[in-house]
Amino acid sequence: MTLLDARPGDTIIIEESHLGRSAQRRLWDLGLLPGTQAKVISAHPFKGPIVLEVDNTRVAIGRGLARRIQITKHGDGSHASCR
Amino acid sequence: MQQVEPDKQGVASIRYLADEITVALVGQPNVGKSVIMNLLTGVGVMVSNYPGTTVEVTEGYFKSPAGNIRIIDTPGIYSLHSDTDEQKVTQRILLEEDIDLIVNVLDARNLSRNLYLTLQLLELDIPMIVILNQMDMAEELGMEIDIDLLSDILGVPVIPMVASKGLGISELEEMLSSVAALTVERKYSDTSASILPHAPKEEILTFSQPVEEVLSILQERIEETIPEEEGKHRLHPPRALAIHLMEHDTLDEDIFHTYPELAEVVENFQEDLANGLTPCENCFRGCAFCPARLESHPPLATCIERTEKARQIALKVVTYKEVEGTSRRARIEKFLDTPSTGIPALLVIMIASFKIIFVVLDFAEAFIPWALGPLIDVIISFANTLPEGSLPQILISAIPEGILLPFEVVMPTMISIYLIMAILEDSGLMPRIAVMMDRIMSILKLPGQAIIPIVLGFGCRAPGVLATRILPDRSSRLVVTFLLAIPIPCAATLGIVTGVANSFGANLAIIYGSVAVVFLLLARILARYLKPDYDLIIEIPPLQIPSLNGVGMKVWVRFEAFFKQVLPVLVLTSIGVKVLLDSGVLGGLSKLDPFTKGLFGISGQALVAVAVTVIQRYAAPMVLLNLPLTAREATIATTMIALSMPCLPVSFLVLKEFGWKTLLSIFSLAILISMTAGITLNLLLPV
Repeated sequence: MTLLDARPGDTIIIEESHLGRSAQRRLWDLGLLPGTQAKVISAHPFKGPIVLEVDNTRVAIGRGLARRIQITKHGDGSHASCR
Repeated sequence: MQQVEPDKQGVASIRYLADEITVALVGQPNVGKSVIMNLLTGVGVMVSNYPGTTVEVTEGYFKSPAGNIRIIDTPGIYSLHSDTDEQKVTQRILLEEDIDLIVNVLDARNLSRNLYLTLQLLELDIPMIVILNQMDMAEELGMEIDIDLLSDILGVPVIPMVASKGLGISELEEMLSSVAALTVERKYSDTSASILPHAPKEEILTFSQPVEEVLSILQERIEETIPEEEGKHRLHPPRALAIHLMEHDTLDEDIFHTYPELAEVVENFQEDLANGLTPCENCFRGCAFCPARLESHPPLATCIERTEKARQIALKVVTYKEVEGTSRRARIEKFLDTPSTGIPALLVIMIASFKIIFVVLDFAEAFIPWALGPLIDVIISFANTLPEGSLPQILISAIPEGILLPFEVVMPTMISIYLIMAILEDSGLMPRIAVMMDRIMSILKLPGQAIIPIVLGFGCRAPGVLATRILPDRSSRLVVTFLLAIPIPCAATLGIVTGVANSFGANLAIIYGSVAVVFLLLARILARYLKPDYDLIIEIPPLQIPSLNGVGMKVWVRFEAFFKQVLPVLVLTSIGVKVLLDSGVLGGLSKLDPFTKGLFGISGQALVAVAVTVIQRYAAPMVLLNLPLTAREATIATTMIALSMPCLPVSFLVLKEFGWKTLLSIFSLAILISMTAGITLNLLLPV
């Protein structure tokens, strides 16, 4: 499942992501490392960005990147922590 | 810093020493660092681009009882790696500017993410004060933070603060003053006592066993290769350098430039790895330089562990209590961040902002010539007393234009743009606009913020060029600037096109069609060539009412820059161009009639009009309307004008923002495009 499958209101857990070097670092910088729990706030229409809330801050991620970020929905049981 | 004021009371010597103290403000974006900077330094800050980058660094002085303390406000960064220009600049400042004290500003609301940077800063072993800013917003969320415990864990002083309301600033000022006094004392008395407690709990800076093993090998090799001076290896403590090596591959040119020997260290290490000489049995696949890392791209081990440590510290010091109801801020944020309500609201805000800018520009255009009228009359009547056609006469009669242009266009542009940009940025609206427009702008392979300079450009391209500062990277700034400078028609261009088209019956569809084709083609080509980073990952900061102080300061700094840097250059160049025109040099172009007729199907004089657009678009119709043009000629000439070189104010701003190489390539590209368009239309349009 990728971030594209997330719906507003979902609680998700970030898994692996396969982004370019700088996008990957920025994702980690904003606290979205594998195992991080985040809440989906909104998804903009016409395949616009997805807004997540993590640790009291909001982060918007474009669909192009969201497609390459694996997630599990909270409570799925399929989540395997990286730690 | 040698800026010592002569002191009447004979304490000049102690002041002199305090003036050597440099403090760096470091923190993540949106933590309110610049507000703290303003409160500490007041007016008189200096904004400059860091050499070789477009990153701005602000510098000023805090006047403590012990003397002036130099404060450098570093660009906001999330971590101390070397991926972005901002990070590189901050690294260089921290390591090369001889920093005596780091003031690390944290956003209290998301401690764990902010503490990541704090942990990295602690590794550098520079005295530090931690500021927990935005405590009020943290309280709104029901957070209670144990300041003493945090200070105990980090081993440095921690000051809670609400900078936007001025709370906690006096504590910081007191601490800075005493640090200044202590530093002076220490320099006199030759003791090595540290200025501030700097005793972070060991466990927060220690990594897991496998990581520590590699670190110790690296550290040993670094110590062997690079001689130690005063406990540091050139700039870094050896351990920090070892960690840095582990987190960066050889792409980090800055570090290898400072430490050329490191290349050898890494090479030897990699060789030993390949030959199995280095004990890597506990490989955690987390060293940036390890060949095995190329196979998979896991997050770096040090980064993961640091994140986890930051999270643990935050868990220890923060407790949550129930909050009743939602705050007004939360309600407005919900409204703006829900697409169905937020998009219309943000559109209204954007349109209102553009409206304000253009109202200011219109007002200035009417008011400034009137206000400067008497002065200009004096200059003109003086010029008339001089012999007609003499050099002094030509020079002096060019002065009015030279004075009017900067005050009429450039100054109001700079002030209104910076005012609006400061408000949009400080309020937290700008990132929301970027998110809203992301989808549309991604068609042009540009980030969402690009909508602001582009839409501004349809009014006046000068503010558009300045507004490219909101874009995240140099490539996307360049793409937008090229688009602004060449195909995007400003209000003046639109005016010319409509005016001329009406007089000669030119074909508007062909003119605008050509402009649109050039815009799309140029955007595509530039995007492929410059590769702007349009993938969106952006923090959406909390909404807040921008402080008058902060916005005022930002605008004031630009206003000062206008008089110091912009005005003199602009006056001289516009006088120069005016002289060039009046002296009839450009008139020589009209002798090129056979040439222009053959290539573009327009007269040489019409080509002069194309050239005139460089000074002021408004001047072009005056040339064109006086010529006997056919509809076909008018269509071709106006298309060429619409696609030709940018006007003088825009050229100047491009020069100031990007340098002469960019300006030169814009000029050559514009000439190329304008001529190609002329030739193509001449071939395609029926005579």
